[in-house]
Amino acid sequence: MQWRNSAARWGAIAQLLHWLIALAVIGQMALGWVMVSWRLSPTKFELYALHKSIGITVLLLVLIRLGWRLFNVTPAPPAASPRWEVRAARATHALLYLLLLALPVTGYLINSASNFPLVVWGVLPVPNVTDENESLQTVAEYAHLALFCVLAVLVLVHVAAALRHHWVLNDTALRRMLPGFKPVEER
Amino acid sequence: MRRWPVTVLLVGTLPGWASDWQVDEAASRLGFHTTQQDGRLEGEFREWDATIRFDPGNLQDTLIDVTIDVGSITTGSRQRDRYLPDEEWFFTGRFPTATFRATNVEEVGDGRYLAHGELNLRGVTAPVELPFTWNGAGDSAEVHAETTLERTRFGVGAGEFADSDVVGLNVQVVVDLTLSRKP
Repeated sequence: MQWRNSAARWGAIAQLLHWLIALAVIGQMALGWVMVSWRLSPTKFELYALHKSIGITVLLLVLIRLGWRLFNVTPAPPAASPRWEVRAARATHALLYLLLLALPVTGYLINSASNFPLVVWGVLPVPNVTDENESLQTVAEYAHLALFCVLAVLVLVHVAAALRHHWVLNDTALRRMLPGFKPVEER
Repeated sequence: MRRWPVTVLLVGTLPGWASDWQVDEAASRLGFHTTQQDGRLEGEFREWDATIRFDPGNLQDTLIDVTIDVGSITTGSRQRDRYLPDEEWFFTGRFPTATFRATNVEEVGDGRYLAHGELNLRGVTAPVELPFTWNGAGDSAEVHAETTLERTRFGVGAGEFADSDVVGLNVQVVVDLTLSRKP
């Protein structure tokens, strides 16, 4: 098992973080929609608590991922890609990281401004960052929703681009993020 | 009322100074705390009135009579407070006030007392023991009382909310009073 990245592929740690976060983000999107439309009941509270716990976990995972990225080489873009594609990919990835930070942060703001206690996974108490503030809560709610919409679009773009690389361009852009992939030069 | 002859006897033998107390509302608080999903939920009742007749040297002549405007409850979150008047919680439309009344107080230690009273909340009347400390000096006194109430005993948080999954069953009631002797 190769833990670290190489110029040709992502290492196991980067892959694990990528797919964990991917799974969590898809789950969060579904959970978010379900919980807001759920009728007021203990289940609704539990769905919210789960959404908050996953959200804070994603925030931590993204920070770890960015830190790991700093201390690793980043695999080079496929050699055949035109410059605009490389630039578009970089911008998309940067924006994805930004959204993965901004969504948990705005969620945390909503929770704080509504003065609800936050105990991540029922064990880690996180203090609220502000007193109750209904106008801040409203602003944070709109921001959270808007960021969600942008993220949903970008995730689609990201997935479509990965599939295009895999099936249309036949390069390793997707495979090098999958376990078990051995680049030619490492075989 | 069975204590009436004793009361008359005692009052008759004591110095004739009043033991009725005025609550300094700004310095007094009727608060509570419990848990919400493992976190702390803290609140208070903003509007209440208390008649307090108490003399550490004459416990027989005690009257603690508190009337609480239940709708004045606040927990620091308007989002949450909107639901508290509902039938599932305090049902303030039908039970706008709660009362606590005690005439039977015993001394349990130095400056520590135990009031055996009755709490009427959300249409349910139940005996409640309220331990408190009395710290009096001249014409002023500080009272601190704490007790734990099980909310479902009074039907607060009924139906699906009647277990501790979301809101804790035990509610710690914390009362702080600053009193001055009525002339």
